[in-house]
Amino acid sequence: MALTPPSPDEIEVSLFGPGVGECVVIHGGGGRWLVVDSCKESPSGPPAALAYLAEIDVAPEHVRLVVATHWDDDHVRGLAEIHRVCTNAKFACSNALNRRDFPAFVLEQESSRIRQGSGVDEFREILRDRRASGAGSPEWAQWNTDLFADADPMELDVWALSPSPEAVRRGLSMLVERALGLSPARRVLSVGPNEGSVALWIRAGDVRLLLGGDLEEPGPASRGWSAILGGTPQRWLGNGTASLFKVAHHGSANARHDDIWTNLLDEVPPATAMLTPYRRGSNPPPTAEGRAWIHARTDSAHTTVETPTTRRRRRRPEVERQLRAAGKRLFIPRGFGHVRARTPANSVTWSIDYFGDAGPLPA
Amino acid sequence: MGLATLEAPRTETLEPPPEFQLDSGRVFTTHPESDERQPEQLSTQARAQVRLLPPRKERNHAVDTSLEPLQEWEGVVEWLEGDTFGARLTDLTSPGEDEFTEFALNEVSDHDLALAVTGAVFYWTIARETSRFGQRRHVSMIRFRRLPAARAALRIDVQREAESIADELGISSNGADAAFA
Repeated sequence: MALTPPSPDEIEVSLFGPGVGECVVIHGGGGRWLVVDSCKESPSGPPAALAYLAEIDVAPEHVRLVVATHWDDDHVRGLAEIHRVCTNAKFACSNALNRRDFPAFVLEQESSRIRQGSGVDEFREILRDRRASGAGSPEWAQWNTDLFADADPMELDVWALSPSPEAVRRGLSMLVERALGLSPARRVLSVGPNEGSVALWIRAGDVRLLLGGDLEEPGPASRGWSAILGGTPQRWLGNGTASLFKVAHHGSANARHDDIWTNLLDEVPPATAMLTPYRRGSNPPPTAEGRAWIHARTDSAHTTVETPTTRRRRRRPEVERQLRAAGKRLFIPRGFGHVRARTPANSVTWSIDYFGDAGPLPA
Repeated sequence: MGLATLEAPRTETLEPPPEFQLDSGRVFTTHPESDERQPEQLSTQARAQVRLLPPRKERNHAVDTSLEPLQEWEGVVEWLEGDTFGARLTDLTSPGEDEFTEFALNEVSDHDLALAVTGAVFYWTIARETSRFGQRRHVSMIRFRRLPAARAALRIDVQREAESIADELGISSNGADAAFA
């Protein structure tokens, strides 16, 4: 199917995922585009968002907002390039990184000499680019923050729903403290539970979207999804629920909260759900139980990689025999998909298209 | 350093012929990894192949072996579950796409075990070990990276640049705390 740009009065949500990675590209109507997180189809390729926009002849200058929901490397690959070329875009990231010592930490990791990167390389590039260009402070995303608002030619509002104040104080501050205590001998990876991710509420015309990021639900009312559902004032909620949900944290059990589906999402017809799988670990999300949980709540669920597969490299026979003898199975996750949802801005009738390895979420 | 002998197929373990020592007129077979010596009944033909070795000495086998790396990876611990950890591997021998695999924690030496945390960097080597006597076996070694020595000059440069960035970006304090004060 040929990729064509949406019409000016169409809202589009395009979710890209290579199996380990995630990026959301949104057309908010009137030629205004948003990019949330970044991933790549191949390590040396361009960011998926830029490749897609180029393919449908949308110049990067039409991107108005770039959001880094958190610093996990599966959400930031290529983000610095997006930040650099989308010159008309605001850049937003978690307020938990709004610390005097965060730049020092990010810069120090440059000496790590880890071939896979330090884990914060994209953030380091972004900080340096912002200083060099005089772009100033990022938009610091936190509970109840209006990150972007524009009414021409139609309303487009983007609200951050998280992290909660408590999550910033306890969780993310702890995370940063722990990270600040790291030496460059380690790669910076996330430390769970991921309650610091930025979840977004987007209103474009009459269409409402909920992007869950990787926000998890640790339990207490002041953190995670509970803080969003119980927080006041919910100025962002207005008078309507969302018709599309980018499922949080790849559909994992620890990112669930039943009230998301009853309080924030359309029930009739049920909201459209889309997610990216996370193909690491012994039982990666979404598990069969997780998929069943989503199917119990909507009949419209979609994934960027329908049938996860892997491939393996061949090595010299002597090494292959030793790997077999040791019972070692090395694999490279395969697959890259794009779920595209479009609806007119004045109604909610999502039409779904799949590209690459995307498809309906399996049972 | 974790050192584990791979359970290789028999065809992979190259067993050299036993070497013989003549000791006080008696013939023994010897094995470089064993102190046991067994009297041996040798045929005339076998005796013809016997090499005379110098008197047996205590040896440090660690320095009597040579290692030939066959395959090396740099890994990062990505997840820990029970007694296993999963890692992303970068091939140092033949660069290509990163791979993933899992290791049992008992593959890590006691000395390195405390270093096996999320984000930790390690090096995994499959090597062919050859003893002084030509015996070969395959070994798998996992060695975790330790902290590099702090470089004061670098830290000063980093601090200077970090303060410049913080100033330019208007990060004057711990904004996360201030925002919710």
